[in-house]
Amino acid sequence: MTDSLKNVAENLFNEFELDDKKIKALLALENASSKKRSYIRLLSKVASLFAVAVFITLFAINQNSYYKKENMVNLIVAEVVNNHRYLKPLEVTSSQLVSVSKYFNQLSFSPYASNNDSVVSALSNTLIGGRYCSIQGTTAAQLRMESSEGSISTLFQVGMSDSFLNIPSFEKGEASIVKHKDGYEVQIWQEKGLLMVWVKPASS
Amino acid sequence: MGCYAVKPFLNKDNLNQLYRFSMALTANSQNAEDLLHTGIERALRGNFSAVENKMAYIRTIIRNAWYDELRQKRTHNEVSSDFIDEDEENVEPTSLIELDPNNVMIQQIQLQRTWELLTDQQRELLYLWCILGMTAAEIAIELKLPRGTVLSKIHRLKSALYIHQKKQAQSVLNEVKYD
Repeated sequence: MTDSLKNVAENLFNEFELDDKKIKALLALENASSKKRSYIRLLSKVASLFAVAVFITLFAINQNSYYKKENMVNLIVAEVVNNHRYLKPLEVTSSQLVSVSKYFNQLSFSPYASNNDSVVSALSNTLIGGRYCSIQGTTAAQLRMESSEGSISTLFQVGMSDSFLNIPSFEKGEASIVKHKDGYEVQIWQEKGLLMVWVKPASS
Repeated sequence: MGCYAVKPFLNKDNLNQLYRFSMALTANSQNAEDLLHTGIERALRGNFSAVENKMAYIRTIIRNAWYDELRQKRTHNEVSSDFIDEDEENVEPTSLIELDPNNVMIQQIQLQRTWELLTDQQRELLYLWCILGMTAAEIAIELKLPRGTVLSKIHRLKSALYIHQKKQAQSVLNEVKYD
């Protein structure tokens, strides 16, 4: 009996059927794959969350370190500006750094001339003497300079400690921190293992 | 972990559809089952849940797996010379009426006898054209072939069926003559 090719083909193909056992086996493949994928997806989500948590923690640590540094710098600036402003009597007077340095025998270091050109120039030409002081509780040397115009500046030097970390290094070519407070300009850097803080009138 | 579960796609109906497609390629139930298993396994290995047309995707995998297997066995061309797909050029255009499998008349027994003599490509074409009801353009997209080539293949498929019908009729006539 003749029929359309479509019907004939449908009749033929409909004879091809999988048995239940085979269908179960194939469906099991998808179930197993789905479970595996769910597990992988969960793991990747956990890994992503972990990565985000690590990132946030590192960011927080970094921020904390930044704020700690900022806070420490602000404390130093406030302290040195106060010290500078009071102009307490000099304990040693000399225009020679060598003579002034000899006085500071209680320190673990000798006050140092620095390689910073402007500091070298100021110390050579305008040094008038020095005295002991402290920066953040650590004994420091205070070198006072006075220009012919009467402008007074002070260079504080103290041995580096853990609390002064992250201060720009002169040897590494890093720019010093510059802050302004109460009409004074304060430059902070580290050099040869010393924390250097130079306070001068902002206009000079 | 339940919130991550993906809704299953496979069921009895679409597995049977894919099995019939595999049968079209292999013309052998054992080979078709193996091929289907391979196809499903490979499809699930990829990002199956993101695939838009999953049936077409699995059919492509099954087709590729089948031709890979044939290439390995080097038996691709071991078919009756009457049914080899010849060069698709120089085939007269197929009319719209002829393109509808409802308008092509054939006997059930004729298709059953011809079934294994058709090439895998012809049986696949038969499946896409008659069972899935695809148009020549849709088949062209599925097989990544020009539409003209698909039209030629449809024409050759029908010719192959008619050649067999003629041969059958001739052999019946001969039997009657010699009786």
